[in-house]
Amino acid sequence: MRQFARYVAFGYIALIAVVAVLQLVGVTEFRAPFNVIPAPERPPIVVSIIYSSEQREWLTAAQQQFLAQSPTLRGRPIQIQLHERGSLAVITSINQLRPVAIIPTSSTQLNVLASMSSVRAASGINAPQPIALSPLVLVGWKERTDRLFPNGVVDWERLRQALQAPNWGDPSLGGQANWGPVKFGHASPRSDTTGVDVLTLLAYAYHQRASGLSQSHVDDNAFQTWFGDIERMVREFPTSSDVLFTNFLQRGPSAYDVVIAYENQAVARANQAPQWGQYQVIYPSASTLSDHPFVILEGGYEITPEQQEAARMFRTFLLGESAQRLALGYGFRPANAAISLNDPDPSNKFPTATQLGVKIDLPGGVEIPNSMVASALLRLWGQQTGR
Amino acid sequence: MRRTSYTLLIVLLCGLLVACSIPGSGNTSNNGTPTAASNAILINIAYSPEKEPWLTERIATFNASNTKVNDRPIFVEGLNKSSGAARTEIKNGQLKVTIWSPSASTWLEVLKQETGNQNIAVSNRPLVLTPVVISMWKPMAEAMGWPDTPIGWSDMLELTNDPQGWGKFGHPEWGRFSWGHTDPEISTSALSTLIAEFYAATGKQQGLTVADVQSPSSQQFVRELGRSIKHYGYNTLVFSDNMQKFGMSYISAFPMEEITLIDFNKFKNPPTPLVAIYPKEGTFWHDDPFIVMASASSEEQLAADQFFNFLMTPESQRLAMDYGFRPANPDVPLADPVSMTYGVQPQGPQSTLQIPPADVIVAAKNTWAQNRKRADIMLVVDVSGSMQDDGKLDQVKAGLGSFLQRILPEDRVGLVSFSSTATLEVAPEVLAENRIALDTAIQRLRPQGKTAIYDSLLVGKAALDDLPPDDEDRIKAIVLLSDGLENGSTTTFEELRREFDESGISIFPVAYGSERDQADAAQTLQGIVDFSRTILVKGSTGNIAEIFDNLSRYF
Repeated sequence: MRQFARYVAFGYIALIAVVAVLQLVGVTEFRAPFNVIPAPERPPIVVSIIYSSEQREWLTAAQQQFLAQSPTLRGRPIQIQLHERGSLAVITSINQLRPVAIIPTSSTQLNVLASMSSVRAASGINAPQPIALSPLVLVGWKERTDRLFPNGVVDWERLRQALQAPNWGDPSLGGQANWGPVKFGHASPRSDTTGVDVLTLLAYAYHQRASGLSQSHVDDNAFQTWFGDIERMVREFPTSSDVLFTNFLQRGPSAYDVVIAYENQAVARANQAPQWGQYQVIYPSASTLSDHPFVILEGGYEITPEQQEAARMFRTFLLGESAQRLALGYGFRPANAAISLNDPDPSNKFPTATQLGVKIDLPGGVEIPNSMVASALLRLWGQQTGR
Repeated sequence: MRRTSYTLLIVLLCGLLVACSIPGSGNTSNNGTPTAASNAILINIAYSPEKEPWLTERIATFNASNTKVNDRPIFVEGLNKSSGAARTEIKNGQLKVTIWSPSASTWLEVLKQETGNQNIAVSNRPLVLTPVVISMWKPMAEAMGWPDTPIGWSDMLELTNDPQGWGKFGHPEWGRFSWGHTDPEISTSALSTLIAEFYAATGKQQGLTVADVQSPSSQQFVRELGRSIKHYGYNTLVFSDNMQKFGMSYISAFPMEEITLIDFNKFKNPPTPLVAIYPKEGTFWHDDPFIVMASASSEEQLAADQFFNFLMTPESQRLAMDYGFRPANPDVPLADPVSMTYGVQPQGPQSTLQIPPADVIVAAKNTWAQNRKRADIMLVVDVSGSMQDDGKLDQVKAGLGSFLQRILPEDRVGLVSFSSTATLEVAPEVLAENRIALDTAIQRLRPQGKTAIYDSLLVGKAALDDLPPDDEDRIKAIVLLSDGLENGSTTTFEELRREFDESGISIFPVAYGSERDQADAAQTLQGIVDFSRTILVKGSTGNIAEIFDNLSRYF
């Protein structure tokens, strides 16, 4: 017995010596040459979230920060799975992906969610909350927007007239003929909220109002002609504002003079593609505001109370000072009133964005039309453009 | 006994620890290049030729990175294939790829139209960008006012119609203005150039219609511009090679992608550089799209997305820029060689043209053959004794039949055969009237005797010289096929060269047969290529039909 004990002791000493030697020569990883049964862990709480593509950079950075804290809920680790979709596809993808939460571009899209038969936005402490803000704007190359909107405000009638001119050399525009015709772009209203919103803004601008848009306004013949004068001159309608803005930066003024975008895209990407010169942000006198609501879901399929609570934890994180300051770096206006646009955080892009024409004060808003009027506008767009 | 026990114990423990520390073995071939693991997700990408150097390196790097989807490593295989050829093979079901990257998205629209399948792709994103430019020798461009004066297709048309030619700009020694054009069925630049010509003809920059393309005035504009086309060709790279070889006397200008121009100036060390003219009427951006095909499985699509993300990294994009591409990632600032140092302006084109609908693209393509210059062609065919080996002559007969299928009825075509002597088998006449005689004579060709190449070329030239002049300028060409060395002519090479000098006749030689035959024939034919300023094509019995098909695109 004593002999056996000596063997065991000697074996331990030899084992330690060999490990020490192997580590000294750089072998630091060891695995068992046979299957090892691990100790049982608490299963994670998986929170899958569908988000809209313009939130990508901010949301993925925030997700990394959140997960770096190793968040748990009653001993169970929380996993956040993000699924990106185009702005209008966020809601239509719910049945396919079965998320715990969604972050569409705008609360106005919740009307569509409400029309779904089963899954719905939760209420009470799980009710939708905006997590970031961004108005719809026009963005154009300064050399062009100085001539198109010399007053620094979007003039839709001026844009309509400019689109009818044969080229920039027209005396009404004062540019160079070899700039070609005025090139205006926006995303397709069939797939992107900016496309939907610009149709609304055109209708309100023509009828000189900011609320109460009705079917009769859309049916007005003179409006339809005016609307067509603009929309028929748009060369292509990319599926998302993200794709459109990338094209704008990739090809410069040869492809687009001015495009519709979210303010956050213009603020976040101001240093890209310097070979075309600086672009300017121009605000309509009245615009739409995307509020990126964090919407926890219920009904339709199984979503556990733990998943909802974990989703609330991520939502709380996103509304916290750290994530809201992070949002400033991606061009979003904070939804947390404690964080201002002048926040001294070095990643905040708003202080320098004033050089682009970015304004601290938001433009006036327009009332979102009801679904019948929105559908009528979309039908009119289809008829005028053949899309 | 005790010592043995201790030793055994130590050995066992060491063995256990070493076994635990051995890392998993990777998948590499004997020469160190990555190979696909047995559980790899295999995806393939067919890409247009100008992306070859960039993508071959990027594919190798990506494969070595062991990027995974669902715990399975992704392995990418690349295939260099011209845009038009890839679209034809995908349409016919001969090519099945996960990813297709032609030069421009235009090809995807053509494919959708021709297959009737609007959902043939699940995504289409630019990889890199390059505009279509008119490349012109720097001295010539400067004479026209480059870079300060906007220049375009209307200026080229004016120069085409000016009998002074370059004398208008004080340089009569440069002769008449001339340019080259490739086949829009094959070359993306040619297709974009052709559409740009129709836009210039109408004065539009958007909204081009089928009616615009088919209008008499547009057709007239394109035909008149075509009068100064000196060479047609198979693809852009052939022109780039010849411009490097023959310089300013070859042609004055050639439409190409900006990346080809940068490649020319940066890597071909030309005595005279080219500069990029961005046509004032507008031009196109080629977006080298990364098209994921709908036929790919969902796992293959995820793998393709990973590869796309890799190609969009700043490192990958900067590497692409080294070859002359403009980055599609806006985070990567423009730098050399996209600069005036290499003949291009960083701000690029001032205005771009709207990509027309697929039916307009197809209509433009279909008018190409109608508007190109008519040709006078002599087929000069080796029927020496060696042509009976390996069925060579039989394959040539079949290839000639395919060639004649692609020639226009208004072209004038004749046939010379040669062995120890040269025989005018069929005098050139419009193909519509000559086809039967040509087919009959081709079938009657029999192999015997030596190889009198030089004498046969003189017989061919004489037949072309005897043709009555036409109202319109015509391409004059001899397609010469031989499988061996010159060994039967009474004419010497110098006499031949003097006869063809300033004749305006281009000779397109084909060195035919086995590798040995091709090498033998090339010894004679290369000298002809040099004075004729064309290219030497090599073909075997296996690909002679394709050779003749390609040659037909030179007319």
